[in-house]
Amino acid sequence: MSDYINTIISIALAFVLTVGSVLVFSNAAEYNTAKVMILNETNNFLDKVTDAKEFSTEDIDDLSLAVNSYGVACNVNVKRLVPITQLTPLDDINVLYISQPLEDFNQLNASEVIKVSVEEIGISPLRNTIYKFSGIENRKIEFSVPAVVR
Amino acid sequence: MKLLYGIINIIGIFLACLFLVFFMEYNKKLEDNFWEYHLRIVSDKAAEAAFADALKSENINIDYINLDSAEVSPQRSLDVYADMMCLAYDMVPTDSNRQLIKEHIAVAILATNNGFYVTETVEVDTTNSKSIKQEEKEVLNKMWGYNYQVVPEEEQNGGEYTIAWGLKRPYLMNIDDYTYALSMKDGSWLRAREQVHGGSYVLTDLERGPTYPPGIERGNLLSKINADINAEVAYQIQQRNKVVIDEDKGLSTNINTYAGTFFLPSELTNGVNTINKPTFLILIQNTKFNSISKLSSVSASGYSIGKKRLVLGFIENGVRYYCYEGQLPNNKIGSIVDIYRSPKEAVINGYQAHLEYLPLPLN
Repeated sequence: MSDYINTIISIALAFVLTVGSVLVFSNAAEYNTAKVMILNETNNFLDKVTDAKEFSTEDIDDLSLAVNSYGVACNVNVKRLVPITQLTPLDDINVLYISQPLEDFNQLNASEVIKVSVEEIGISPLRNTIYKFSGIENRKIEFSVPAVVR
Repeated sequence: MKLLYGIINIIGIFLACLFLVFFMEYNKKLEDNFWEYHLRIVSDKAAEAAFADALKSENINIDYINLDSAEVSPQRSLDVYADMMCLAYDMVPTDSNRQLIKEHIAVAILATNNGFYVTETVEVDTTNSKSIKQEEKEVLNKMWGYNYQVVPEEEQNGGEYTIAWGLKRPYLMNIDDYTYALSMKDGSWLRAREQVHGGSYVLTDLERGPTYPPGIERGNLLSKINADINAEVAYQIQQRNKVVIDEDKGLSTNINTYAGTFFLPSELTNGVNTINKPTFLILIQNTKFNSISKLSSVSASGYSIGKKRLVLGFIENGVRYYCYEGQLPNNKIGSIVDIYRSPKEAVINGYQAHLEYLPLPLN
């Protein structure tokens, strides 16, 4: 009986050490490469928009397509923030950033801020739990990059 | 046989555990790498915004020939940098959040044509406020006869420190007991002689000059400027990372404890290093805004001004063409109709690319 159990454990261990480890490592490497590529795409979009001083909804669609082409489903959120200078009750000058609704075609002014937020969607609860307790899984992709219009 | 199986299995389980630990470390490393990369990009963009804010043109009617007269003033640039970093990490750009970002700035340099600014740690809140800790001590002394030292009320300052631009420092050189303050742009100078009069220093013989004084060349000046700025950066980083021991807690109160030496390699890149024009340079360290662990890397971002290549719209054989400035042959300069900031503007105004001139080198 115990011989039988030992055999099963041995086979399982052999699988984990030969096939499983390689799979897990390559999966992590692939996921992290996708992460960096998504960040690069965001950076490219911001460079393009801040240089051209204009963007349309088509540009945002292109960005979402590019971001989603690395095998990770992500939500892309583009915000246009207009800085507004205000006088506080203590006579200090404070700068606020007001989010402006996007239109089909946006003409931008210098010193406005374009902020792109990327968030991974469709994370399974199992993956979240494994990440929280052991760290064997990856944390979900969630970052934002702002840039000032030149 | 059973025993052998057992031993082999135990070795196998040990290896599997080892693999798990390795993998967790590997995953953490990948994650940290990603956040370092993110920090680099975000810091670059924030530095760009800050430098754009610091750049002010000296006179409104910009002369096309006088492109070197860019004036730089540091008024809000640190705040702009902090704002952008706040937005990058999904924080609201309020004063307290800006303060948090500024705590992580190791040093920032703004080199202008006639001097440079360096960030320094300054006390913001200098009001005399009685902290709770001091009150506690007073009560303990009164009620229970303890012997705590209480700071007198007039010396109890707010104790809130932040980073801010220091005074503008001129580029100084000493030649023949004269002290020269020079301009990086054209070498115009102001000189004075330092003399002791009754125990105090007095500046005498103030004079001005339009170009490089005898004995100083552009090379000398630039190497002096770079050496000065390097030394200042290294000193400020050391000051920022000094371990401060809080006597009450017995702990370091300085969050920046980056141990290591720092220097700016002057000849590594031809971009920001070798400062020879108005430049902005900022270093941010020990950030932990989004990543799991504190990032041990220091991110340096820098920008300097450069000449913009304008686009010329001209007419050749009755057709409207565009090319960059410097590409048009000298005998065609009379045919220039308009000047644009980008090829896009030229195309919108009905010009088309001149395929013969556009591949020519810009000079």
